[in-house]
Amino acid sequence: MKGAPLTLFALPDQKAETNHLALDVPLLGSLILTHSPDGEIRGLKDFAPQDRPPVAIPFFAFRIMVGIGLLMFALIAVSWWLRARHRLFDSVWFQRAAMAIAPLGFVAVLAGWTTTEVGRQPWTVYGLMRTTESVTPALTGASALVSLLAYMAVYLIIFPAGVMIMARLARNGPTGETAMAPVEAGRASAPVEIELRHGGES
Amino acid sequence: MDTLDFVPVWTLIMGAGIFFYVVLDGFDLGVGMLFGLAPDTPSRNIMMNAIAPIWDGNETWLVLGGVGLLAAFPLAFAIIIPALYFPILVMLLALVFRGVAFEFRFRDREHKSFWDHGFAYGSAVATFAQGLALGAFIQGFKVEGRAFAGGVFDFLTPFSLLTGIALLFGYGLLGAGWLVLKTEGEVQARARRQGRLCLTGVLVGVAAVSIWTPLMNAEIAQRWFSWPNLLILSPVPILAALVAFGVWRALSGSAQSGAFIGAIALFTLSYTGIAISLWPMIVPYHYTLWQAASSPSTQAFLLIGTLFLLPVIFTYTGWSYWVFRGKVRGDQGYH
Repeated sequence: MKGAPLTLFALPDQKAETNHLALDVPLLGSLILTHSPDGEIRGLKDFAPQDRPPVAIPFFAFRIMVGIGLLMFALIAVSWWLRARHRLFDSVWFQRAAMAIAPLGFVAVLAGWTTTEVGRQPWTVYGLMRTTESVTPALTGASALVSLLAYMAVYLIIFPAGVMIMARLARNGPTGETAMAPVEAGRASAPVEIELRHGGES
Repeated sequence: MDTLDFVPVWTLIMGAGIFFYVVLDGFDLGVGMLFGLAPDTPSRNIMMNAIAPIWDGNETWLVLGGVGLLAAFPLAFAIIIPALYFPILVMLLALVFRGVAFEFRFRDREHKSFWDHGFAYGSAVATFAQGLALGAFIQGFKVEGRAFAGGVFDFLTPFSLLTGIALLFGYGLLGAGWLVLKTEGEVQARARRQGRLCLTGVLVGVAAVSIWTPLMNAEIAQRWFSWPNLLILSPVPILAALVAFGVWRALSGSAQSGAFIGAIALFTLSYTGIAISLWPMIVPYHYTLWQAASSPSTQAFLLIGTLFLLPVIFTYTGWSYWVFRGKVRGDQGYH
């Protein structure tokens, strides 16, 4: 398709090969990908149906990733504006917004990963090997399920523990413990067994 | 250009990389297991401090081994990794517990005992899984064409259980040797006692594997016991016996570094023994190093990057060991 638009939002309908409720910016898709407003972009319809990925997942994952990125840029722009007006350090609403946006980086990374991994389907090696052909023959569905459950069990222990510890470090703030321990005679000397000195807790 | 054979170079890199991994992560996994047997918190803190600055550097060799196998010997990777799916999975999950324990045990004091157990059991499970993988590798896999054709639990055999238990003692011995080198007083004395126990276990294990392997495979028996190989290869077991004797003396006397160096020598000889038995196979009894290798241009391409990378790894590894040289004390350490 020549002069393709950039679709900001839509509800893709894979069966009907169309987008519902599409919000398009004309020509911008071609401009971004080919640096020319009438450049040609090969759409999904140019590929055989069995060579297409499931559309909805990468469609939304990509927009979540880019949207979060734009949100972060907006936050930076606001911080410059506040800084110029000497209000950066006492605008509580801005600091709350910065805190709220912090975890979104992880969401953006996961969404980006989802975009590439689902978007490359059904290929493992493009044009040469399909995902179904690259599965380990010995790995049965039951084994794959067991290993997935094992991963989940481990991360259900490790991840909440990590979040809890990070939350505690953030809550206590930069007290007591300095970032760098003194270095004596070429050897760093900060004990593994650091007493974390913070308000009330031992 | 296309007649140039990079397989010997890659064999050397992979062989050395896996050996560095076994010895280096071996001793800190061993310290992790002995950590679980330590009677009090001060001892445990000292043992943790003895490996805290270097353990994660040691595990980079595991990454090099895995990626090197994928890139330089893709056919071997495609057969071995599926065949050892569960031991490798269990090993990695155990290493997760062990890895976070370094940080979590003192940042999450309410659950310190939980993370201490995670550290000790994580170390033991990772070691046992590696031993199972080694045994299954020596026994060989069921292969059809260019794929593993067995079941996911084929790795579990009496022989692999033996190598799993033997490796627990082996890494325990390396860990005890490291603790003798890095600690003093009561912790060191305990390491000497535990080291002698581990050495006994290692010798029983190595002897059993050395008898069992040629009985399993006539070709290996032929390689070791035919004339004149019997004479040429005899230094391997003789040296192993002498080194074992030296390690026992070093553990019993007052030597500080002898036990660790001797334990490494014992691992070197065992590793050499396995290499002699299996050469030139990388997928034992099915594919040689040359048959499993990627194309010469791929291997050459990878070699360029690797030859820049290896000196960097050696430099920072050596540097970190140099910075943290000397005895570890309980009241100071790295973090």
